[in-house]
Order: sequence, then structure tokens, then C-alpha cells
Amino acid sequence: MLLDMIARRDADALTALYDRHAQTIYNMINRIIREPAVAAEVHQDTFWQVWQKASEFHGAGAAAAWVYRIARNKSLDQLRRQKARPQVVATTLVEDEPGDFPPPADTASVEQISEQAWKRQRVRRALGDIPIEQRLCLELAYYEGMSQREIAERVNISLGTVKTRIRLGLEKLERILRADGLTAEDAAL
Amino acid sequence: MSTERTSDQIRELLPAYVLGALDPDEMLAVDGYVQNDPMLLARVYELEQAASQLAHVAPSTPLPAAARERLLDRVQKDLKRPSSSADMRTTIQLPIEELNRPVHVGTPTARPVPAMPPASPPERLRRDTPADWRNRLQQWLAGLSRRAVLGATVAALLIGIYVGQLQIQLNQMSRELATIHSTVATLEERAQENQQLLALLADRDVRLAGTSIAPQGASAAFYVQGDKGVLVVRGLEALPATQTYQFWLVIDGTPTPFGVFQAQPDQPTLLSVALPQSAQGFAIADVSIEPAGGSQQITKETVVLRGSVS
Repeated sequence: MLLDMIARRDADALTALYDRHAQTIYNMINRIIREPAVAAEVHQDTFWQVWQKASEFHGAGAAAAWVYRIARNKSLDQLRRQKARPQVVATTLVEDEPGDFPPPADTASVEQISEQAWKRQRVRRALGDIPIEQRLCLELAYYEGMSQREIAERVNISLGTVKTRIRLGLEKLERILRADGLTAEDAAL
Repeated sequence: MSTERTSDQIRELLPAYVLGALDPDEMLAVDGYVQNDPMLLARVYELEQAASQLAHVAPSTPLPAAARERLLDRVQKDLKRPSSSADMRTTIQLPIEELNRPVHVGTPTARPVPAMPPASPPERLRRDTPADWRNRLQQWLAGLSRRAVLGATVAALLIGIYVGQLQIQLNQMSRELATIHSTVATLEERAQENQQLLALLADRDVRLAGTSIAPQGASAAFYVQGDKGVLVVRGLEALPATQTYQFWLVIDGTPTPFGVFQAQPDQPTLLSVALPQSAQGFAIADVSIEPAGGSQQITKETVVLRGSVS
């Protein structure tokens, strides 16, 4: 719905989308790029691209996933350009901070903040139920943009093992999230 | 990957495909299957939705200052441009790679460029006779009549189409308006639910009620989780620029300032505060009206909200 309105040049709709997703998207971009100044530019580019290309979303799949994918792909492109990154990620998992309040943006409403907190809690719970080796492979693929082959080299395990961990990990994450209430509406805008 | 794969084999590769973790040749091969199999495509969307949830657990980082304003300024400038990018995008194919990796969602179909009509051949030069002129005039009048009828018909058709489109747009807008009303009602319900949820997530919370000088219905809740707290305020009036609301926690009998904020009467106001260990034992939470910029000492006469730790 919001994307339809944005495609019709409704700036208020873009503002609403921004207020709802900007913080989470910025967290993700910053997690991937780890350079705040660059992350800020990628964040800006992401929403600008949504503004320009909302009409290209034809309603297939989840609208939110489409926006997140733009941000992630842009971030990974940027990451690939930053060839000289220190390789400290092999054992790095997103830290567990149960109940952590995300820092609210000036414009975030109570509803948005509590919604973010609730989603964060839900995904953390789900990740906590996934074997740590599967979770590591998922996070290397998602946040580092690494291929299965690269993960195998980084973690020093066989390619077949990585394939299995990625498949089982994401399928399990999906099962747990759906059991915990993730629906298609969650990803709508 | 030149060999044929079964649907089950492709399904096993979809998680890595969604994460973009396949090798390039595998990505292309799987993409070929996915684009031609609605069941596989539907599965990709499901997995993609689950994968996108990983964004929610990235460590929190404050948004860059003025990022929102910068974007909205840019959008406003874009809207003011006589030929904005939205108009352009109906005729220009923009790069879509960021939008559609690894899944080709919403790929626009290339619009064929209309062929230019062939150039008119050069007219034959010859001398005209009066009979030629008469014939030509008659033909022109007959042609004019045909063109007039044809033109009127086309105009009527175009007007009919235009009116039809307007009617469709009107119906669509009516539906959207109804949906917006419904959405607003749902959001209002969710606002209540979310605040209850915030209360559940917090270690403890303190309810602040309006004092005798507060507007009727003014209230607040202060949610505490570890070393962080969120104050949610409702129903306070907007203050002039020379004044501000200030949040205080009374620690060992001493009111200590924890931030200033401006209220918006028709929506909740939020103040996020850090709570050092020394503040964990606060007994009372107050909101007072202070001069712009805040005070070091609370003005007791202007306390508008107060709550005690029970």
C-alpha cells in the first residue's frame, strides 16, 4: 500500500515508510559496512531508490523484504568495494542483548519503537534456538555477503557442511518465526 | 551447472539463493528455474521474508543526524522539478540490479521503442491544370468531411476512455480512503497493544499522573530496562519556545534532571534516557515546566506529572 502511494509521488507515504523502517535498515547497513559515514550515504541512497523505483515493485513477495533487499544489496556492493576490511568476522555473532531498547530516532513513535523492540526480541529468540554453527553461516552470508564457498574457507569446514548449515539454519529460522507469529502481513508496508 | 535438476534439488538450494550465497553459475541456474516455476518463486518469497528478519537483530546505532530531513528535502526538490524522475521512469529503463538480486522481483518489461514513421517521399513536381485543382478540391472536401467524422468519433472515444479512467481512479481512491480509515483504526488499537507490550518488555515501570496544574488526561509511563529507560508522555500541551518540559528522577531525596522535551498534544511524546547505576534506586519520577534549555534545580510549583515507585 505504501509503495503504491510512493509510486504515485506521495511524499507523506515515503515519510511514513522512513519512520517505520529507517532505524532497522540503518542498523543493518551499519552492521554490514561498519563505517558510519559510508553507512549514512548508503542509507540515504536506499530510501532515494525506493522513492524513484517504487513503481517497479509489482506486489510479488513482501514489500518490506523488497526494501530491505535494496538496502542489503547496496551495502554488500559497498562492502565489496571496501576490499581492505579487517577479517574479524569469523567468530562474530550478533550480540545477544535481550530486551535492548533500540535508540529511538527523533521522529520514532511509541508504536514504532515498541514494534522494533518486539521484532528484535522475536528474531533474537529464534536465533537463540538455532545451533550456533548454523547461525554463524547465516550471519556470514547475510551480513558479510559471503558465498558458501567463501564461508567454507573462512570457517575452515567443507563446502558441503556449509550448504547444509545454511539450508537447515534458514529453514529453521523461518519455522520458528512463523510459529512465533511471523505472517505475510508482517512484511507488508 | 549444465545438468537438469529436480524441483526438490532446486528447493534445497533456495535458502542459499535467497541469501545470495551460491556461486554465480549456480545463482543463474537456480534463477532460471525459479522464474519459470510459480511454486519455487512462492517459496523464495517465503524464505526471503524470513531472511529479511535478520535485519532486526543488527546492533542498534543512532540514525545519522538530519538524515530524514535531507531525504525529504531531496524528495521535495524532485517533486518541484517540471519533469521529475517519476515521469522519466515510464519511458527510461533504469538499472535494476540492486532491486532484483538475487530474486527478480518486479522486473519491468522493456518497453518497445515506437518505430518512427518512414519519411515521406519527395513530392512529384508537375504543373497543375484547373481540372486537377477541382478534383483536388473535391477530394479535399470529401476527405475533410471524413476526417471530421473520424475526428469526432476518436474524440468521443478518447473522452469516454478518459471519463472511464477518472471513474476507475475515483473508485480506487474511495477504496484507498476506506482502507486508510480502517488502517488508522487498526493502528490506534495497535498503539495501545504496543504500549502494553513495552510494559511487558521492561523490567519495571512507573506511572505518572497529572498534578493539579496539568491538563486533564495528561499522563506518562516510564519504562526501565537495565540501564535504559523510555518515558512515554501523553496529553501535555505544547509550550512556548521560552519553556520546556524536563524529566526528573528523585534519587536519595534529590531531584536529578534526566532530559528535556517538547510535547505534542495530539500524539505521544518519547524521551529515551540512560540510567546509571546510581539512578537505579530512584523513588519518584517528575515532569516539570522549566525555562528553555532546562534547569539544574526542579521548580516544584510547575511539576505537571508525578509518579512514585510502588
